[in-house]
Amino acid sequence: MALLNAQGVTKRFGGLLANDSVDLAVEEGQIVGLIGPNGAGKTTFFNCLSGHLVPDAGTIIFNGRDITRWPAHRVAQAGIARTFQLVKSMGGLTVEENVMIGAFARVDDREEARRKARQVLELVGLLDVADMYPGELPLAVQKQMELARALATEPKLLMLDEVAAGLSPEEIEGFAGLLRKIHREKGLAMLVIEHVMEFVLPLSERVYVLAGGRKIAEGTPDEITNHPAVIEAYLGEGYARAHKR
Amino acid sequence: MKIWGIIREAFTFSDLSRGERIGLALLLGAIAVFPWVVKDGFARTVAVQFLYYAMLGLSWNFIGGYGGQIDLGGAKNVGFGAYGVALPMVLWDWPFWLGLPIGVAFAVLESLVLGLGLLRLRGHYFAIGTLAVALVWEELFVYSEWTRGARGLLLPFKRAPDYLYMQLTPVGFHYFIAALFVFSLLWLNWFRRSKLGYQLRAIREDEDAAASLGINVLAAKVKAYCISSVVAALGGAFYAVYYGFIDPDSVMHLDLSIMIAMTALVGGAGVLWGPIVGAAVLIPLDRYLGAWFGGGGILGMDFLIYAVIIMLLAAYQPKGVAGLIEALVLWRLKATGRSTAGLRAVGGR
Ligand SMILES: Nc1ncnc2c1ncn2[C@@H]1O[C@H](COP(=O)(O)OP(=O)(O)O)[C@@H](O)[C@H]1O
Ligand SMILES: [Mg+2]
Repeated sequence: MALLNAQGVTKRFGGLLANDSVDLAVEEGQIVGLIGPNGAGKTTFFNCLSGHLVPDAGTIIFNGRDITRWPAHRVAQAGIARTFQLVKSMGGLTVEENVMIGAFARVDDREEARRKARQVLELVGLLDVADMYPGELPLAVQKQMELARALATEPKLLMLDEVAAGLSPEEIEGFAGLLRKIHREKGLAMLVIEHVMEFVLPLSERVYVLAGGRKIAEGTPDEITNHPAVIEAYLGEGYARAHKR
Repeated sequence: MKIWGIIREAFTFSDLSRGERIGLALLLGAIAVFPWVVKDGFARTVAVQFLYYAMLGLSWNFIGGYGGQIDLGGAKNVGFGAYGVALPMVLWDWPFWLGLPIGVAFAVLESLVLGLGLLRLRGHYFAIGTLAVALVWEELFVYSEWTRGARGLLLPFKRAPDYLYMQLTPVGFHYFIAALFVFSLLWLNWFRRSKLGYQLRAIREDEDAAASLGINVLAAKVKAYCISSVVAALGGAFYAVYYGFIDPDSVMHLDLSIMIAMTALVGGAGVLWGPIVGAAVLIPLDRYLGAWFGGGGILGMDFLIYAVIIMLLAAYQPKGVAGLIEALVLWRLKATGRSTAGLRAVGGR
């Protein structure tokens, strides 16, 4: 059985159907990509999964439990961690403290939380900026910190919302490497919303495509790049050509 | 043992800078010797009021400072503490120590119920809600015959010192409020480095991020709000026996709510010693100006002006005086060419 199984997830904002009966599954340890043009409803779908929004219809089964209407903190404790499209770094807390907040999801003792936070910071390579404030650091580092913070909650499923947006090609490269390393070491499942195809396709085992709130395709990265509906809706000729070469 | 761990934490100030620790030590030393050095009655009164308001400011810091939830109704909890002691004492001649838990328990229960409703609100809606509820309580106490309405309660007179009824000598009262103040300081010191304290700081920064990291935002806020109410109610209980007379005007008035928030915000909200500095600035200013001008001091000002000042401070300079000191330190480091990375904390992290 899949680790995450979302079926018929529907979310309306007034007259706008932001998610129209979206189905999506993530297997244990799998990296799944979720792509689609701006306004496709990807972030809305994430918010429904993470409990920041309550879907109007549909069911979300995670780890054998129906979490459809759970509040965000319960979803997090059940093992789904996420990052945000617009980084939410808690600016009044140091990098280490930010990550400690994540660690407190599993432990009560401060020094234990600090130890765990420092372990995760080492994993993502941020130990040397542990005592700095997020505002003193470039966006790429803040995104790494948000990733570390999410990891510190010891999730079974990590959901990343446009982690590459706003980063330079080198930084994107670094981030992809980092995600691979984390996947290798922790074996956790990931659901990756992305805009930058070069980033998400090589990373994913499976890719879902949203457009206009609806799932228009799903398959392996190869299948997706060659899918006519996807090319039309989103990828554009340029990318498909580049990949055939 | 868990309790020893908590006590050890409460007494641990090692994350503060050396200057801060020296400052705190000097303050505690001064409080300890004050009644022996200063014999002037008025100055002693001002000292007691300083400790009283500093304590109330510390209570505000739990929810308003570390949690970022602007509470504009703190006086109601002071009132519950004061009436909890005064009412049974007047009606049934109950000693202080029997009335105290009643007032505190009422404050906690009321804050629990109110918090579960109001703390769902975000931003300034919580501030407005607390303000409105505190006003309702004040009116209830003014119009209720049971609490003797606006006439207030005059406590039965005992021969001082009486430790059952806590009717003490001036020196006794000084140490009584000093003990309560130190207790509040230690509690806040434990809190700010506890899991709950970290959670409140995360909530202050971003509620969505906090929730995504497994924090039950409402539950954490309600807990801090209840702790805050305990400390404020203790202050109110002290006030009742210190003055021997209370009425809604002295322990439930909007001015008091405003003053509590101001104490923390002027000194530094979310900074351990912020409310102490705030009280040290505001109380002598208020009392001496009031004495000189014969008016109501700065408390005589329109509360609307205060409300505006509070909102502005909360939005732009919540760290108050502490924030200015911090800025000064950073500026000096920069001027001497040293790195300021990560050096942005006063009152510990
Ligand atoms: N809170 C909201 N209220 C109203 N409309 C929203 C809200 N959030 C998103 N939308 C709308 O829903 C659609 C999908 O948005 P979103 O999920 O952010 O897309 P994506 O992340 O794929 O770019 C957009 O048209 C957006 O304007
Ligand atoms: Mg989005």
